[in-house]
Amino acid sequence: MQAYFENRDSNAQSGQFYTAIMGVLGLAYLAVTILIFTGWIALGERANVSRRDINFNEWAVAIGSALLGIGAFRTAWGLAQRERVSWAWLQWVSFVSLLVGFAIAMSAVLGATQQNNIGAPRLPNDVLGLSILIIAWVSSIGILLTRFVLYGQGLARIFRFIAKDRDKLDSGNFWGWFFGLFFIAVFANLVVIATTVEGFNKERFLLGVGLFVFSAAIYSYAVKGSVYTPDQRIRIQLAESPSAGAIIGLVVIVMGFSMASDLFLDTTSIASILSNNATKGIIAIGITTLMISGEFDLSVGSVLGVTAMAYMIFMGEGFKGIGPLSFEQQPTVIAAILALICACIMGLINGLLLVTTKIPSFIVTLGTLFAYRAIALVFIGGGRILRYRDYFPPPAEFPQVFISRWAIATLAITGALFILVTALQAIPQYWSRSVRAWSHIKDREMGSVIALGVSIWSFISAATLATAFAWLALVAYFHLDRVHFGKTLGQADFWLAIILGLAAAAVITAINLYPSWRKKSGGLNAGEAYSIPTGVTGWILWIAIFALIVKVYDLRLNLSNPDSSMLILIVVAALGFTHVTLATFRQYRLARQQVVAVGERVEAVPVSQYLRERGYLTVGVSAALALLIVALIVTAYQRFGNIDSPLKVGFFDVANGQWRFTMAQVTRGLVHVNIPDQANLRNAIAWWVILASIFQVILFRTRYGNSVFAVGGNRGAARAQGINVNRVKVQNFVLCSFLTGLAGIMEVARNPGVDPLKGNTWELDVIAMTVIGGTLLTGGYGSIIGTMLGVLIFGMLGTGLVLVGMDSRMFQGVIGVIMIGAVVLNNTVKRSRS
Amino acid sequence: MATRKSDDTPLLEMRGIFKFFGRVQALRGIDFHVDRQEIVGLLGDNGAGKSTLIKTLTGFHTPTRGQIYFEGRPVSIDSPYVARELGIETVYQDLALVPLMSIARNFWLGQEPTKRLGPFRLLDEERMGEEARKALADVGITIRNPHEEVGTMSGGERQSIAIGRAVYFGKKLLILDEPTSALSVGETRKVLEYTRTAKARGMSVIFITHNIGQIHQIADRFTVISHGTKVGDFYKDEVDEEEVANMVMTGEVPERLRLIREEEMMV
Ligand SMILES: Nc1ncnc2c1ncn2[C@@H]1O[C@H](COP(=O)(O)OP(=O)(O)O)[C@@H](O)[C@H]1O
Ligand SMILES: [Mg+2]
Repeated sequence: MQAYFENRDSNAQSGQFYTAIMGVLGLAYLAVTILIFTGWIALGERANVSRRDINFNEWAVAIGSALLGIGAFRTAWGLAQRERVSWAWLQWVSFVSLLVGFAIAMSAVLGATQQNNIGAPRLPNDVLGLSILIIAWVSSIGILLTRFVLYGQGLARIFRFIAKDRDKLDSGNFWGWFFGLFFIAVFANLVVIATTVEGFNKERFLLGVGLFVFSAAIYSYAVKGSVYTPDQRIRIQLAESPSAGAIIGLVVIVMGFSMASDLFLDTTSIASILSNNATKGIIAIGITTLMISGEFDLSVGSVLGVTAMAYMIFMGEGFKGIGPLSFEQQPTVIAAILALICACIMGLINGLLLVTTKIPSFIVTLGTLFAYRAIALVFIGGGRILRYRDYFPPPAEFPQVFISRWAIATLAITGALFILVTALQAIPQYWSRSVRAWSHIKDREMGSVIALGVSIWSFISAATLATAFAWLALVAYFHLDRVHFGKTLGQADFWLAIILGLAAAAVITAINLYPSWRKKSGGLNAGEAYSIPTGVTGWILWIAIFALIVKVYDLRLNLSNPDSSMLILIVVAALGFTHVTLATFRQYRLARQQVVAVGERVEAVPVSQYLRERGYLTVGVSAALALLIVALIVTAYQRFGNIDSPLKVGFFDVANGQWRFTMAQVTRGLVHVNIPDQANLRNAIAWWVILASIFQVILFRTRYGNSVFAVGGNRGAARAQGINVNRVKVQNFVLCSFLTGLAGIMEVARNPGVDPLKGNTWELDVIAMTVIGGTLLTGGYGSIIGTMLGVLIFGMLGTGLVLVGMDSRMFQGVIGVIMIGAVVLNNTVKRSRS
Repeated sequence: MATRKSDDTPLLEMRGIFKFFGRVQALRGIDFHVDRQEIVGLLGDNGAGKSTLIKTLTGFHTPTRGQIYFEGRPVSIDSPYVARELGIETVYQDLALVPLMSIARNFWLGQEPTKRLGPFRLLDEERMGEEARKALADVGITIRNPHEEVGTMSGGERQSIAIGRAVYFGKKLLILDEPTSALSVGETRKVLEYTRTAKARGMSVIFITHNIGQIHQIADRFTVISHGTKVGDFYKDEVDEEEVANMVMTGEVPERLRLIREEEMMV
């Protein structure tokens, strides 16, 4: 492959061969996209061919294959032009194709087993189905873990033969042959078993296997001689992440279950998985933090029970002598705060017991598990259940809280700004790189003009995205209060969003240009300049594709409807950005390599100098900032009308209410992604994600987090550097109980009744989730994101096993096996790092 | 016992230090002092109580009995944090680094630089990496990547990083507990060099080692302890290497030195 790019005639044929293959692949992928949009390929049930609505699976497949098709065409084009980049493209396209082929083949097999399991639940077939499932899983894990290139090596030889690349016809190493044969054996086995099963889709299977083998062959040829192949890149990335096992596990589980059951990726299933596990996820955050510091907490289940009970009692009965609080006193908020204080006290007891007695946390919290449970049992005697409705029978409302509209407006604006800033900070950075890339041009004036053009271009790009975000923020606010602001978003809102976006983009771009303005940072190099044409073509390409989709799908776009046009803007902006960013990145790396090789580094003319001489920047920044602030204040006044009257919100809705709006509502009927009413998405999910993000930052980006890792990693060394080990541990116990308390209140909000065994055995689930997520039981290592994946795996297993028709009595067994497997996997991936 | 020395108060003085671990009497009434800008070699056989003595000094252990004076004032150092605040940096024999954390994070552990983000303070990772790299380069340790995990490095590299950290943060007193045990010849020479540099910059150093030849090159004074009690303090020009080695082994002061001491007492 190297030789082809070096323009050696003898290898010209092999290049042409792969150009042709890529062209054909690209056509095939685009055809799939179009066939799905026109309704010829149906994934999932549908009544007739001309059906208009497209389900989630179809969207995903269509978009995915469109992307792949473009990738393949781009590769073919690049190969024809002898562009070196296309080598990397070739690797990635064939790599992804190989995965797609595998998925298709597996879906044929798993689909058959599933059908059989439900259709004819006889013992031999069940065993058969199960064994196929296991083989499928094992081989998919194996494929993920071992080098793909090995599978296709034998076939690659044939390709090389066809491509007249005979001088490279090596016999392959032992493992290449071994894995190739192993792979063929597994598939042969699957074919033999699966064909005996009713409902086996032979065509789909053959298609998948064909695609897989074909791509594997191309892949193994394409990666010859490259420094890092895509699968190595992925594995290196994985080995560096604490949650490697969880990531692989999640991929395997999602792939496996979604292939085995159409219902798995259904909104309803996903919603129930998330809603049912979000509260456990919140507790798992606390357990993860504790476990990283080398301790853990078995008493969380009992703490949850006591907190939930305390909340209910405080709300319903008040306190001895005071009685229930009156409606105006916001009793539910006070009750919640008091319940949380109870939770914190329980955590404090755990922590203090640990550090004063120096008993291992296993024993301490095992003790308090029983002790705290006794509190709930004593207070809620005789198998009673405390019910909200017993305290406040039906005419009474569920608890309400009153929130100042000012507070909400401020919060909404701050939130929108925050999103804008973080989202936009990243993009102009790439752009400012290319800005600097241009500035090497010797002709100063010319270079500056081009650079200015690029700046404007980057500004427009950033503005588009910012507009999208501003719009989203407005929609989010709009839905906060369904009762009082019954208006729809109008034309004015659209323009407002654009103005906000432009203003924000101005600020961000300016902020990003500021440092280089200050200190004349050196330019990068020549090669980067290519990113601009690539970016432009990418953008045009994306717009064309979007137009095509619209045409095929016959979306009745109404450009005068602000929401429709905004949606288009968002989609185009997002796609364009992805492409441009990737292109810039790639060119950047490429150019860097060239510079290292050639040793040239051209003196840069700072763009900012040009800007400064004309003084645009300062004026622009101040004007934009002022505009932004004025616009925000004016909006606040106009939109929120009677801003002094407080907003009445159901407390249970805030804590863990069900989300009732549908996608169709948000997009004004442009896209028919309806979230059905039975889909149970709840606010606890939002809280979970928010808390997890906060704790991820705390753990990895603050001094406190650093000391948590140090205490768990080497207690003595942490103490020797002046860290108060005991304080960190006690704080972690309190934090963990606090989070458990929050989860308890959310549980009550979802189902306002507390029985004495509430939260029983939750500690085991939560610890399992955390361990699956890659956190070390011995401390010093782990991540919140890993734990989130662990929670998802745990939840998906429960639902997925039901969907594939497994006996529910086997759940716990499977979960146990999976947990051990995940930890083993984690260790294996870690070990491959060194 | 050390009668010869400047008139100003010593930097550090430990008087009558006892430390019992249950029934183990690790230190039995040790008097120990370090003058300003002085390198003291703390010597003794394995298990003599050297590490325990300095851990008592840095607040890692609390003494069963005894008093510590720092710059003439009585202090109670009840945690390593206090010791670091006083300007004492230590390379412990057994408690150097956290293996699962990066070099930069280990380097800054306990005093990480932060940057403000609104009301929050986040770690300034860029600065942590850059400064750790620079600081270690200053003391002659070149590292590939400051964000690499310490666990993947060799024992010598780890020890070098711990020493580099102590040298970087140390203000008044540097304590090195067997710092050269895992080091190569070249690295050892560098450590001895920093020790001298530290002294030149106005710091005092307590240097624990088994290699008498090494310590004889750089120390101003030796303190020999044995089985939790002090054998004696000796200035470098009073004793030769052989005598020191004998004292470490036997725990007894040779006749010649005892005579000198008696003479001095009489004067
Ligand atoms: N944490 C401890 N618990 C009990 N005994 C200890 C502890 N630390 C040290 N010792 C004992 O104190 C004595 C002195 O140990 P140490 O100070 O480490 O000697 P060294 O001079 O070799 O550094 C040894 O007998 C050791 O067993
Ligand atoms: Mg020792």
